[in-house]
Amino acid sequence: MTSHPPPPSRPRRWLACAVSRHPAGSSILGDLLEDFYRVLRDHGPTRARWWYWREATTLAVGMWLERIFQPFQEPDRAQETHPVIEALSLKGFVSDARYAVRALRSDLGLVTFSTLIVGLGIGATTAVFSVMSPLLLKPLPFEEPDRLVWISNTGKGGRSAVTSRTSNLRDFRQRLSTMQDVAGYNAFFEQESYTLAGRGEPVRLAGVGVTHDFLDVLGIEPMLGRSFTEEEGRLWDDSSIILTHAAWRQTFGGDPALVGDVVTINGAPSTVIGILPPDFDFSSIFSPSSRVDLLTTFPVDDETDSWGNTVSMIGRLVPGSTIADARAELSVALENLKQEYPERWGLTAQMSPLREPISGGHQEPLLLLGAASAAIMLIVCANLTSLLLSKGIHRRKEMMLRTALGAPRGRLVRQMLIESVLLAACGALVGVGLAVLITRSVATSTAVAIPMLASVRVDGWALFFSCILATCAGIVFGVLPALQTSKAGPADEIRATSRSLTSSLRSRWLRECLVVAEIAIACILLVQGGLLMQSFLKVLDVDLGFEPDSLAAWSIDTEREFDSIQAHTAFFESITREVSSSPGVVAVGLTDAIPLGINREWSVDVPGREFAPGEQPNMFPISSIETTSRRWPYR
Amino acid sequence: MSRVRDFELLVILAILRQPEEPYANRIREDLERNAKRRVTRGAFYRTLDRLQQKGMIRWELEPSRVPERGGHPMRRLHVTATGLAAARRQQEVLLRFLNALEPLTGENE
Repeated sequence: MTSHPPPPSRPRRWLACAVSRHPAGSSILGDLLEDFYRVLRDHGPTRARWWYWREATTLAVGMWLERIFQPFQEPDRAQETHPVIEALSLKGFVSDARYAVRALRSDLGLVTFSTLIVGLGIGATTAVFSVMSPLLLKPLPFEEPDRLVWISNTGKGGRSAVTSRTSNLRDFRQRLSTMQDVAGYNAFFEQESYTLAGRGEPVRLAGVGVTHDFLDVLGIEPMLGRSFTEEEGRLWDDSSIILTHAAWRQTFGGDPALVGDVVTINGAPSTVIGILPPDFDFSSIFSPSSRVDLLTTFPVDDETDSWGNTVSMIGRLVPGSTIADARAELSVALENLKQEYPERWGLTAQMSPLREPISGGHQEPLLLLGAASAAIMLIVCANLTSLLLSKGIHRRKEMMLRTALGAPRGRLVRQMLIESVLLAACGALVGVGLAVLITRSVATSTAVAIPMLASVRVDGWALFFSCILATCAGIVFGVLPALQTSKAGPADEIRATSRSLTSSLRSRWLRECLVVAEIAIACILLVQGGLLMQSFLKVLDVDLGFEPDSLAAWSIDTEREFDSIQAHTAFFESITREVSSSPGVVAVGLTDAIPLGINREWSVDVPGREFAPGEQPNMFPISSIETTSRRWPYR
Repeated sequence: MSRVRDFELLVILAILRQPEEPYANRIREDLERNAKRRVTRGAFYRTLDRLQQKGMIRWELEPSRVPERGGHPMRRLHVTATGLAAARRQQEVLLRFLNALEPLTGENE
């Protein structure tokens, strides 16, 4: 016997533990061992081991369950199967399920109301947590996102205040040894316009200029084709472009042969060198509510540096480096640069994890929304509990009659269990539908500028937990009447019923507590909602600085090549004249940044001339903007 | 007087009919082989416990003579007078009803 392999040790230990309190536990272990060697002789070691696993674990689980439910078993009913065990058995399941469905059909009011409140709770909670999840809970959709940092200017205000110069980007690349690489993109990319021609009707595309290593720093691999090379990154002619997955599908019909093809962008040939993967949506992450169809190169040279603060920088830390190390090195590098280039303005920088600028402004409102939806879910559970408890009072009479007629209490428990699960399932079904609808409409909405909104999908875990919560509330409070009835016994129940059919003191106390809790949570939500509404009304009352009524704005792009700046100006002035002559038009102006559109500062530099008040270009009189001061920050 | 369930009755009868020492393992094997039903270990051991609680059987642990048992004792089962009486009562009831089969058996023959 010693030459034979022993039975698996793990199930053996479990079984030894399970039978430890049994007076004949040791003999049970011996029985199983004896049979194991018989199976080993007859069928070989593999089958014997499998057999032992099955037999030992089944027996151990059974013994544990028995030990757990033993205290609940009443001495005079010890010979009966415990109701929970009987409820879990499959005997008579179909007939119980049929009875449960019939019972629910007889009370359609309860079913409809429970389904609606549970569905609403699950739908709302899941939708809110699905929106929160990519922004606050899940890691950013980049390779090793913890190593990505955001380097920004230390100013406050518009985009010009937080972006930096390309000379700073170039120097940070050279001087920061804690950074594997530093990349950037043109934060004012909305200024650029790209018109695709030569493929039917001209199509206006939105593009963003990025440094050649931008995708490498983020760890994004193009789905098709390749990324920019260093040589391409120095070019100004948009001769190489990478299309986003959405633009490739919508504008080019998802043609895989497009990679390597030459298309006409702004009247010049551009080679499509790559297609971005579908899960990387530049605008959704870095510039919510704007659109990006293609990436083009943004050279880091003197020309872009002369534009001032235009670039947003993203760096990747060297493996093993921390952001504290990188911050320390950055401050040293800044000091050195200030000494070496005392004439260079804008030499400030700060570093933060990449998640901060992406989710920063939305973190608190989303957490508030999450708390509100969790409170709604609590109200839903309390409502469902109240409903089931009040229904349970009436059901106790039915339970009593069925017990008196000989129905085993396990069967009664199981029937109530099925009813509760069915109710929760109906609610979950409505909730899933609602969650999908809300999430889909939020993901495609352009009304709110929340990062990564486009990638929002119904969060499986949020849905699972909401459903489990509603199901548990349903099961616990749905089964309660059956357990109470069976525990008391039909005779006691009859006496109790004859005294009062309304409710027991305990269940009344429980329902009162639930109502109080519901009102308390509802009050919190009302106050929260009221405060939000007040903030919203205050936002509506904010003085915009211009009169938005009777204003219309549209964008004009032209592919036309102009010989001189005068010709360019004359073209736009002709448009202004024509529009001005239209009936009902009071004034016309031109701008490259409408108020509240892009928050940026730009200087107007006319050597030898200073504008007098009221002499500004036409934009201000149209918007009724009163200038309070004119500053010329740099020349 | 405690009620005896079908399976409990089968266990009592299996103990009584053993030609050799009625050890728990042998009873289970006998039931599986001859009662034409699957006897799970959990159900079998629970039934033994129930019968012992009702005072219908008793057991004693004997040192094992089988080397494969790894030194674990064997459980030898005995039917008590209460168990025997319960089995007899069930026999009477069953016979009373089984009598109905006799004329039918004759018809079939």
